[in-house]
Amino acid sequence: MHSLDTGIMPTQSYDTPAGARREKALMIVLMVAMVGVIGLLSALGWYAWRQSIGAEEARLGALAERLGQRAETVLTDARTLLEMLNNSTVARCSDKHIRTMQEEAIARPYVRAVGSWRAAERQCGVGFIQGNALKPPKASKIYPNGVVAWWPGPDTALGNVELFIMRLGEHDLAIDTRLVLDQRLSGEQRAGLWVDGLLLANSPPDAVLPEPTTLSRGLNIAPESNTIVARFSLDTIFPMDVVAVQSSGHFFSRYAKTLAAAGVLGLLLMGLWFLFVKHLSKRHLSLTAELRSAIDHDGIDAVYQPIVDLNTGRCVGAEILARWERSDGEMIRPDLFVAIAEQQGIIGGITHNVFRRAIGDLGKLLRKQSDLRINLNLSPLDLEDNAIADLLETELRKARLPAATFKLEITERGLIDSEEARALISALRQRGHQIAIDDFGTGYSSLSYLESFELDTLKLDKAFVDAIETRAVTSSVIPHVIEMARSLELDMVAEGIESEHQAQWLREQGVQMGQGYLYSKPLSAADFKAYLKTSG
Amino acid sequence: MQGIFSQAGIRVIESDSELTAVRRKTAAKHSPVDTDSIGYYLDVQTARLQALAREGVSVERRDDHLLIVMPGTASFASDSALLKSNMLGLLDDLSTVLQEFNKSLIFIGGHSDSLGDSGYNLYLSRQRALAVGTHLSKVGIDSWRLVVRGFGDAKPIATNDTESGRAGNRRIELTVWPLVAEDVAVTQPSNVATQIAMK
Repeated sequence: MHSLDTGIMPTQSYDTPAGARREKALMIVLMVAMVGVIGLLSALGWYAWRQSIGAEEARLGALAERLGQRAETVLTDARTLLEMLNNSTVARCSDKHIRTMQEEAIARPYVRAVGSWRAAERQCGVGFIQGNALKPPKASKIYPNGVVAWWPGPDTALGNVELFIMRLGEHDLAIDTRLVLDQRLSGEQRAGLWVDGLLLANSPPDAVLPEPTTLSRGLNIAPESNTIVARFSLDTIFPMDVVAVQSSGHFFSRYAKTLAAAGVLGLLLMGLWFLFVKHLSKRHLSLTAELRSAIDHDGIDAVYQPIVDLNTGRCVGAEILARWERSDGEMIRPDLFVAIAEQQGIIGGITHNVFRRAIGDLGKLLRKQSDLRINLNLSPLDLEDNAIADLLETELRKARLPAATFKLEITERGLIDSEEARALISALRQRGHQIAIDDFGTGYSSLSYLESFELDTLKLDKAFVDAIETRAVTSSVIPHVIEMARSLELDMVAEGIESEHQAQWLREQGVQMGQGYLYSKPLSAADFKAYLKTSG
Repeated sequence: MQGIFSQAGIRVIESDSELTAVRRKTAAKHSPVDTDSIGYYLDVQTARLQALAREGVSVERRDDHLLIVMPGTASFASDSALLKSNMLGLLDDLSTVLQEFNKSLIFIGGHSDSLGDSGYNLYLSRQRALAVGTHLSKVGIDSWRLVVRGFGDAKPIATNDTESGRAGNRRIELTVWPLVAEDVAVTQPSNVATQIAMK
């Protein structure tokens, strides 16, 4: 009574491996959850950080650009003014010359003085420097275009203001760099402008700033001094560096909201993630347990999809399909629970279940109509031992049905494996069962390999039948598959026929039988019997 | 009296001590540059000259003087002391700045490579230096500011073993010395001071 083995197996030996499996599954689920959460938090943290850094860089970048452009404008303008004065033909130190210098100086708030020189003697000039000219002993830069520049320093100081002096030809300008650097810095910011590597101006004037050469470009964070330092470089007419500094305390307070929002969002997502993983794992674990229970209690239903003769439309049999409805009424898709059953090694239980169900449902009918062929799907696992052979023999004898009534569907995967499978198939066939090869064409069987098995029927996979509808049939492999079946002298059943066009084409190719929604969806036993009557 | 005078009234000398003496004497006679503004004087003059420089002429600011180097090949035809016309134009331009910055002595040294007879090299280098001095004088530089000396091949600045080295050695060096009161005597060897005192 092998068929009852599963029912009378000692509980102990059944539950222990299952418990271990469940623990393992839980561990995996937990690890996945942890990795997910860590990944999520890292991503969020990174995102929030990038957002803050990006905003700050943009802010300091805009500041630096503003300062740099202002400085460049001033320096270019100063040089243009000097050229204009040098090129003027007006007599030096005439009233007109002095008036011109005066007007130009007044037009530029940062110009403190304009001087007209002969060699090293100031001849005349306007502005704060009168007579007593500034002649610093060492130029900061002498440019090939003739410009001499003295950076602000003790040698260029007038009163307590250190001036930037620029001389070209016979004229010079004294520039107050405090007015070159934009004064519109917010309270916590400091900025410095370096031209040609020399500090030209800083704001506020007493600001202590790090040299640009000690900084990398972009944002630098100095935790020890609690500051964020940005270095931006321009290289248009003069190489310029702007260094902008602000305290990092401010940085964090500015982005506290962003970071807090990101934190809340992170927690929310974490929660959702946990619920999701929990739901999934619970469902998976409970599905497995419920499936076991359903199999143990004959809870797997059988439905029957009619198989018809394509030429006459007459129903010649049916394929048994397993259905599982959970206790809460949820229908679980066959591909899902079959996969679980195969994975858990309990697929044999489903085969037994539906077979006994079919015998119960259709036994009487089959004894009356012995030409009907009912197809039972065997999993590759069913072919690993003789349990299925014993079950079939026992149940059929009980029901007083010939073996020929049940055609056994085996997938290509089932054929692959072993000599044992081959021997078992051969034995089943000798008892009178016909053997159909299922899902044909989706596996990897070669013609010669198939030839080595004793087979009766070939089931054309739905994918091939679909191809009839969707593209030029001649380009698909289906004609070859049909040719192959014919050369092996196999009957053909096309699966998943949905249109008369497909049926027509298959008929023309000599395919004898078919199943699909064109004829009927899978039916309950009662509906199948009714269908059988109407189809004749 | 140091050196001899050329036709144009330019002083031609033959030793370092003569130059020292001339500098000191000239500073005493003409108004010197303020000690405080020597750096400024040199910086601004350098910028002005550099902006004009071309034809391979370089202008360099040294601590207490300016150095203008004219490459010999670009300035003269081979074996000639006649200035090429491009170089005459450049000297005209430079002279406007040199006239404005007139509180300085312009020492013109002629140098040759070591090929050929060194007596002849000395002669030609002096003639070339004199040609530069004469032209500067002609375009308006006071002749009292000009001092000329031929060095021949005595002061190479590069190897004489290669053509590029020799080309570098063939040159006119204009050394612009700001007139400085007092400090010359302090920094010069005592024998020069003695020599001057004896005069």
